Amino acid sequence: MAANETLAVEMRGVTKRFPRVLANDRVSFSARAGEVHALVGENGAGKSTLMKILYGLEEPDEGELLAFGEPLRPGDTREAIRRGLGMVHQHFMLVPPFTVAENVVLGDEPGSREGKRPFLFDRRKASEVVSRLSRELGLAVDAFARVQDLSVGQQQRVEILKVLYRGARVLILDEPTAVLTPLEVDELVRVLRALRDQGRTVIFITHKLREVMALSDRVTVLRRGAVAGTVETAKTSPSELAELMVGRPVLLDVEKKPARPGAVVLSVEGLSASSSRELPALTNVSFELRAGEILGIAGVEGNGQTELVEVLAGLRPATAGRVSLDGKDVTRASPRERIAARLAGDSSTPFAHVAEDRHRHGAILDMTLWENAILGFQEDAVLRPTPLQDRGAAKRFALALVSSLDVRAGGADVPFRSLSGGNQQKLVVARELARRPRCLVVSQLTRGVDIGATQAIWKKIVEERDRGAAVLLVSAELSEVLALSDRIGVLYGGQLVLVVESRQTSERELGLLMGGASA
Amino acid sequence: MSEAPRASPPAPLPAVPPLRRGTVLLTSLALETLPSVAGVALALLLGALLVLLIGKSPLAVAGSFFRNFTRDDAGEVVFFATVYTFTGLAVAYAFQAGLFNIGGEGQLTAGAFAIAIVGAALPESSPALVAVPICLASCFAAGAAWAAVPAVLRARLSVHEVLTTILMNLIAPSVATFLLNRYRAAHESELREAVHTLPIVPGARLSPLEKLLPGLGESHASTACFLALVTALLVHAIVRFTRGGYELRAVGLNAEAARAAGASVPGVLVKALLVSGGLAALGSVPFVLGFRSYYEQGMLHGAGFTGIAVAVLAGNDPRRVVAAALLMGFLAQAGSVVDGSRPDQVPKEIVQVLQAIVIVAVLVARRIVRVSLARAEARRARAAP
Repeated sequence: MAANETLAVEMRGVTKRFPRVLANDRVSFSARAGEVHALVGENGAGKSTLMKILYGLEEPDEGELLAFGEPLRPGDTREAIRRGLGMVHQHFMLVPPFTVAENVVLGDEPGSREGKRPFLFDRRKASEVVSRLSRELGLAVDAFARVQDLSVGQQQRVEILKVLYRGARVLILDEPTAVLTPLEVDELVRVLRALRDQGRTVIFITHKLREVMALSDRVTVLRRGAVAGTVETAKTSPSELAELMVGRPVLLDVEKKPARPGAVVLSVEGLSASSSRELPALTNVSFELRAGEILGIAGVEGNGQTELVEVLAGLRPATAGRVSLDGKDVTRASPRERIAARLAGDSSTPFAHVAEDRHRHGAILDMTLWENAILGFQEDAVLRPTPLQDRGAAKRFALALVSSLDVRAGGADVPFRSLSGGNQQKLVVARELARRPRCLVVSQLTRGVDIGATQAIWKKIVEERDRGAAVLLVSAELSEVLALSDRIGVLYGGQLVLVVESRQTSERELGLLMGGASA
Repeated sequence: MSEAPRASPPAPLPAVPPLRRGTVLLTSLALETLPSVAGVALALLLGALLVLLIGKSPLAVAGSFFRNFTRDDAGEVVFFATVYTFTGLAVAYAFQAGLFNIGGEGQLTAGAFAIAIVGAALPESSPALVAVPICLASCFAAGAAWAAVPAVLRARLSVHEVLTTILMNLIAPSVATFLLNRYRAAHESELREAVHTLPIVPGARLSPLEKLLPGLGESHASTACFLALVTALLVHAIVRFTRGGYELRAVGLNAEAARAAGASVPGVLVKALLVSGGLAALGSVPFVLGFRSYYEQGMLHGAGFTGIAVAVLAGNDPRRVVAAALLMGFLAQAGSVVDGSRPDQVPKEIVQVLQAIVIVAVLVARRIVRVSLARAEARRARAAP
């Protein structure tokens, strides 16, 4: 098809330097009209930066941009929007109490121009426009619903509508599937295909190879800021893409021996908890976790995982039920009581926790690396807890953590903020493993972590299991749950739907359960 | 893990070229000094404009300032700076835990009243080595006690400390007046018509600074200034080098992470606000032990509030609080030097306006320096191959 050869957008020799980082190195990228183009790469490969440059949010140091064959002025978002570009950000930018229609037209509200009151916001006209758009595009959303009452998948549709309302012919989506259920992903795939069939261009950033294979027509792989290759999706494979991303062959799985479960370490009975908005979030959850096994908890975010992990870590009170560690009731124990105790006879501790949101619970970005390395160890005998901090011991401890998981950092004194997301997470994981916990609760273990680092972290978790730790793995990544778990449970609507041996289940079955189909 | 990391030796780190030490030093120096200098210069410029606006000559006023600024005035600068160091440290310390203690005014009043009562109640012949520490301790305790209600409300019920400390500020003078009236009634025979507390015992008095440094001239400054210096260094050491200081900063920078790591966040918050209240109260030491020897209403001149400005100027760094306190002390005294209605004089309110302008100007300049440094860094990265 001749139309397919028309380039919707083109970037030529784009280079972008940040202090100490070369984000994009002479990148040439193009997307045709009427294609779905995936942009993949590890964290920090420069995908988001490249798309921000295209959309005018960042200015390139070198290179030129073209939209539909005409030069596009860099660093000018308004110009990009006028020329038919639209971007859906990873974190939604919606006003929750507003209706769908109000959100869609925000920034370009229709006024009663013909009428006598041009300054008044014509709410009805806005709703009409939005309803028509959503009908035409097959994006089912109620224009009058309040955004705060919508599911994440529906909110994403609102974001897409917002972009289309401004007449976008090229849609850029930054990690659009990160927060969706497998069923919502299917729906998104359908919508994006429909948009493509209307002749629009869809560029989506992702690091999930499964989605690349399912959805895209072509793929561009970035590695360390440069293009590692652009290929037709039909002519490639996940392992080839992974190799392009990492620069060497990668195992997409982790080797592990069959589990040899021991005594029950963590026992949860009839546990309930409320969300931060005081709504029931976890209802009557019961399970047992044994030494030497990994229990994976799959589920879409917002189905009680956050609350479960926080209750286990002592960060959130249980409204009912009981949590026992090694037979001891710890339901009401504080985080300090859970982590500070040392078991008699060896250096292991009863409990450690890798938080779901490392920026919130796992680290302090404005402190140095070493200060983060001793977080939770400030009273530990390892660091000789005199009133004056032993900085030498603290830094040696930090450097030992750094080497145990190959954290890439310029020393113990660098600001933690300056580390990449993957390296931050590696340090946090190394720190918690240094407790040699009997029970290890990890949540969203490899979120924002690249494939190479993911492999290293996964290996460590399996080693912990083999050492005899009881591991609870909570993850929104089905592939992670499947790769690591010995048994798998699914949380849906605050209830633990089932627990099965991992080899007796399939991705498809789990996906259905995560979306609420009954077992 | 096969072995605990503490057992393994430190590994060589992958090389990310660190900035040269000289560069780091220069950068931090520029970041800290440049904005202050630029801000003060800008404020002076605006001050001159203000003087022009009220129809006087900035040059004449400046001239009269330099002619009339005496050694006595230098001593007064030290006096004010001593007070402001304490109240500034109070704000800076609480800020480490993410708390904004604007109750310095009330805590200062509580401290001043307590130190005066205790200082007067001591046996007449108490030696300085006993009397001074007792006075300091009671002063600190009174300030801490005055901060206790906001501290507990914040830690237990998340009632914002800005609201509660400011309300405690309103309560303090009334309570002090009430207690002072009671006190005067009880000591009517000794006090007669005086509207202040009994004088403190001689042993509790701090010697005037001019006795140590004759070059300074006569002023209200006392050896309390050394106490202020030592306190500033002590606060710096606590914040930077102790476990308590580590937890304090951890709570201030990310309370959720600190809690997950086993820190008792309510405990840290309460302690932080109590210590902050105690530090603010010590601001009364130069007044009661150094200058007046008793407590009377209105003697503290809003020194608690000036502490907020000092902490802001110092970027909440305990060491730089001393420098900021000196600047604010200087401006406070400069107002009195040029105050008057002669052609080469201005109302001292002009200088108060100047104080406010300095703060805004320094904050703006700090921001500008930071942004331009980031830009320069980006340019350097671009220039590098």
